[in-house]
Amino acid sequence: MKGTYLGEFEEIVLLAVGILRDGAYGVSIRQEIEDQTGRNVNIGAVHTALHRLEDKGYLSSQFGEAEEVRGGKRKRLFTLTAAGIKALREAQAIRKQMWSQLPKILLQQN
Amino acid sequence: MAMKHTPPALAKRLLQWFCHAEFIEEIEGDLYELFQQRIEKEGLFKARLHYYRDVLDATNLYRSQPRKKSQNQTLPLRDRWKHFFTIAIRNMTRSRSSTAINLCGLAVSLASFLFIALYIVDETTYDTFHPDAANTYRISYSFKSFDGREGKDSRAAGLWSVTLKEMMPEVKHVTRFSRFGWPGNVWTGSPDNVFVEQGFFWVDSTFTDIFSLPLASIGNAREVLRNPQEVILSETTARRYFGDKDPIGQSITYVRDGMSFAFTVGAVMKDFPSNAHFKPDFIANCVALNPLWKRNDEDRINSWMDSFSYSFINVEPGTDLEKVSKTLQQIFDQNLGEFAKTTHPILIPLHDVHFTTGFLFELDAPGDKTHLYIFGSIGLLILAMACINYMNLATARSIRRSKEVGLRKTLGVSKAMLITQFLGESFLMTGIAMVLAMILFAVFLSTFNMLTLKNFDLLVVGQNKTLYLLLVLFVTVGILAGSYPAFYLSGFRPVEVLKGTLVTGRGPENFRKGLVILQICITLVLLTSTYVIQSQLSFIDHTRLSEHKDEVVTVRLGQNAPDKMAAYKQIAKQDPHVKEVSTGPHLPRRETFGNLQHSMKFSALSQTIYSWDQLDGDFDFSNLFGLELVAGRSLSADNPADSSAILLNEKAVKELGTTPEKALGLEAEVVTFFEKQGQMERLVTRHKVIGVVKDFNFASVRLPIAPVVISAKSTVSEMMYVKLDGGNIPEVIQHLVKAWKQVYPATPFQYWFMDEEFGRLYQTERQMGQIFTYLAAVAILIACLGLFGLASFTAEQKVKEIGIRKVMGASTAQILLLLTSRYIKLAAISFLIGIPIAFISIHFWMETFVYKATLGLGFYIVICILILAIVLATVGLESLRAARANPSDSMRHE
Repeated sequence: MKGTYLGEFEEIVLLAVGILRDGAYGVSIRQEIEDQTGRNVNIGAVHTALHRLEDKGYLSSQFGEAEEVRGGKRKRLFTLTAAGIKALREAQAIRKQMWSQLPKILLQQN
Repeated sequence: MAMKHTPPALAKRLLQWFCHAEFIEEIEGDLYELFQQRIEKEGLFKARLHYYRDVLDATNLYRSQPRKKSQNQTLPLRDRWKHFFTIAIRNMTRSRSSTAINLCGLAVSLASFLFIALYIVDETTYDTFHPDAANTYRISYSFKSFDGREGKDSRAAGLWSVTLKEMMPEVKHVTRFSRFGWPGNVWTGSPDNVFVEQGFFWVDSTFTDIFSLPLASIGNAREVLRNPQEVILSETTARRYFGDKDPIGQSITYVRDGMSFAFTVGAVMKDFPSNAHFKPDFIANCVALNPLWKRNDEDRINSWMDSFSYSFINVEPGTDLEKVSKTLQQIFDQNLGEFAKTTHPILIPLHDVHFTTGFLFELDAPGDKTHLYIFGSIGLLILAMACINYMNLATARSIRRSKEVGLRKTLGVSKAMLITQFLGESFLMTGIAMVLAMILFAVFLSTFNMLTLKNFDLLVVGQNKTLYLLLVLFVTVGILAGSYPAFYLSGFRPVEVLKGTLVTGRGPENFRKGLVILQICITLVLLTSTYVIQSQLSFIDHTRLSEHKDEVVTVRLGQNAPDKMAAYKQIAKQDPHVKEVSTGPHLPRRETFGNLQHSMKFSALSQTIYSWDQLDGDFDFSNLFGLELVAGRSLSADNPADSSAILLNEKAVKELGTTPEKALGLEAEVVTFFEKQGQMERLVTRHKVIGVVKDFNFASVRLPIAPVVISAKSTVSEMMYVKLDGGNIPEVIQHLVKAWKQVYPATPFQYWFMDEEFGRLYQTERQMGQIFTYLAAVAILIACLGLFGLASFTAEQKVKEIGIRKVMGASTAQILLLLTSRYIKLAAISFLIGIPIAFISIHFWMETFVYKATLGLGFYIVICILILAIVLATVGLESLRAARANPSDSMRHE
C-alpha cells in the first residue's frame, strides 16, 4: 500500500514522538532526532513529516498551552496512535525478517 | 532572562502570508523557540539567517494544503449546533406572535401546496398505470353529419381496429369495449333488488392485453373474460352487492330491453385508481350480450358503420402513426362507401385521452389543463405569500436583532457565518412548519378526497415522488423566506449598531411595502375569482328546467312501457303529492345518451335543411317542466291531431327568421335515417307547428341553447318523469313503486332524482368552485396573518411616539388614523394594480360559458370595500390597542 508506506525519516520521527511521549512537538522532536542520530535536521522537514504522518493516521495532535518562550504561541503536541504503533511494529518486523535472511558470510566479510 | 530578540519581521510576515492559517501558530511558535535557542548558541546573525531559511522551508511546504479535518478556531461543531438552537429558539419564544404567524402561514401554505401538487400529479398521470400506455392509442374519428356539420366521435366501429391488426404487423394488440345501455339495470337475489349501474363494461377477451386488471381475489382475469357467463366485479361493487359474503360464484342478472342475462361472479378486481379515464364496476365479455347486439339483423359489435365501441390499439415502439392513420383511412375507403370521404381516423394517445375535448361520448369529464395551471399558480402564490410574511416580519424585527448581529461581528463572526445562521433559522422554521403541514395534511385528506373525487390515502406521503417534493419544498421555501433577511441582517455595520446610530434606510421599508401590495393584489384577484365562480354556479342552479329538479323523479322505462303509460298515470295520480307524470327522452341531455337530432325542412319558408334536437315527450311534458308558451297552444291529449303536431322554442323560431306568431301553422318535413341491413333508409314525416315555448336549458349551460322541437310521440320515450309536490318523499316513492308493480310487473322500478343528474352535469365547475373557495380562504388567511404581524410590529415600534403624542394631547382616533393610514394607502395602490388583473382573468374564464352571470362595476367596488374592511380590521385591532394604551406605561421605562 502506497499510503501507509513508512519512509526512513518518517520512521525516525515516529520513534522520536514515541520516546518523547507527552512532550513531543516540533522543536523537541527535532532535538531528539539530532541527539539520537547526530544528523542536522531541518525543522521544516520535521513539520512536513509530522503532518503527513497525522494525515496517515499514525499521529494525533492537540494544542498545548501558550508559552512565553514561544512568543505567546501554543505548541502542537503530537502523540502516537494505535495505527502508528502498528506501523512501527510492521517496519521493525520487516527489517527483522530481512535481516534473518541475510547470508551470515556477507556479514562476516566486513 | 535578558531582553528577548524578536525574529526578523519581514520573515515573519512572509510566513504569515504564505503559510496556511491552520499551521501558522505551531510553526511560528516552533520557529520562535528555535530562534531563541540559536541566539544563545550561534549568535543573533546566524539565528536570523536560520529563521529565514526555516520560514522559506515552511512556506514551500504548507501554504496551500489544508488538513483534511478542519479544526476551526471557533467552537466545536456540537457546541455550535447547540448554540444555534438555543439562540434560534430564544428568538422564537421572545417574539411569540410573529413566530406563530410564520409557523401558521407556512404550515397552511405548505399543506395547501402539497394538496395542489398531488392533484396536479394525479391529473397529469392519467392512465399511466396500464402496462404499455406510452404505445397505446385510441381510435376515434371525425365525420360530417347529414347537414354538413363536422363532428368527432371518441368511439369507432368494431371492425376497424380488428382489420387494422390484420393489415399491420406493428399493431401488437387490439381491444374494444362498450358501455351499452348506460345506465343499465342489475339485480341479484330477487328482481326487486335492483341497482342502476353506470359502470357495466362489455369488453373483448383481449382486454388484458392492453389494460392492467389486477385482481383482488384469486383467479385469472384473462380466463374469466374468456367465459361469457362470468363477470368481474370491482371490490367496491362486490361489497355493495354481497357485503361480507364471498362474491365469487354468486350470480347477478343484467336486464335490458326486456331481456335478462345471468352471470356468475368469476373474480373481483381492484378498484381502478382515480386517475383512470374509465373506471368499470363490472367487466364482462361482450359476447354475452350477442342476442342484444344482433337483433334487428345487425351486429353492433362487428360492424363497419356503427361506431359502437371504444377501440384501443397497442403498437410496437417507434411505429409511424402516420402510417397507422393511412392504413385506417384505406380501410375506410374500402368499406365505408361514400362515407369514407368524410370520415377520417384520429389516433389519441392513451395518456392524452383525459385531456381530449370536443369528442362525443367521452367516458369521463375531460380534464382541463387550464385548471391545472390555475391551481398550480395559486399554490405557488400561496407559498410565496407565506414566504413574504416571513421576510416581512424578519426584516421588520431586524432592529431588535441588530445588537446581536453587532456583538457577533465584534467577536469576529464572519458575514458568511451570520448568513448561515439566519438561513438556518428560516430552515428551522420551515422544518417545524413542515411537520405541522403534514399533520394538517393528514387531518384534511378526507375532505380533500371528497372535494376532488379522488381517493388518495396517507401512504402517498411515503412515496418517493412525494418525498422529493417535500425536500424540494423544504429547501426552496427555506431559502426563499430566509435569504433576504439573512443578507439584510448580516450586512449591518457593528459600530453603527452598537452605538445606536443605525438608520434602517428606505430600502427595506419600500421592499416591505411592495410585498404587502403584492399580497393584497393576490387576495383581490382570488376573492373576485371565487365570487365569480360561485355566482356562475348559482346561476347554473337557477336556470330553467333545473328549477324543477328538486321534485322531479326520473324513472327508466322498459321497452314496451309507453303503451301502458296512461294506466300508470291514473294509478300514480291517486296520491295527491304526485303532481304530474310524463315521459320523454333522458334529461338533462348528455351526449352519452345518443343523438336526438333530426333533419327537417320548412318548405313554406325555404329549402334549408335544419338539424335540430327533438324531444319526444308526451302531452304532459311541457306541463311537467313548466314550459311557458309564447304563442299558440300546448300539445293536448284531447286533440287527436296533436299527436303529430310539434312545439318549437324561441331559438328555433329565430333561426327560421320569423316571429312566433308567424311560425304557427308552419309544416315541418322531418327526415329520419335508419340503418337496415347495412343500408341507409329514409323516412319523411310532416308535422304542424302549433305552439312556441320560451327557451329553456335542457342540457349544460356551457352549450348555447339550441333550437328544439317538442313532440308528443311518446312511443319512443326512455324515461318517465314524476313531479312531486312536497309530501313525505319516501312514502310517495313507495306509492309509485306499488303502482309500477301493478302496471309493469316484469320491469324493475329504477329511479333517481333529477338534481343528482344535474349535479353531475356541472361536476367540474362545482369541484373547481369549491377548491377555489378553499384556496382563496387560505390565501386571505395568510395575507391577514402577515398584515396583522406587520401592524403589531409597527405599533410596538412606535410605542414611544404614540406615548409622546398622547401626552401632547392627540386623541385615540388621531393615533388610529396615523397607524392605519399607510395600510389604507397600500390597499389603494393594490386595488389599482389588482382590479385590471382580476378583470382580465375573469373575462378569460367566462369565455368558456355561453350563459354568464353578469358582473357590474359595483361588484368590484364591493370587493374592494370588503378587502379594505379586512385590512382595516386586521390592522385596526392591533393599532387600537396601541392607541388606547396608557402613555405613562410606554414612557416610563427610561
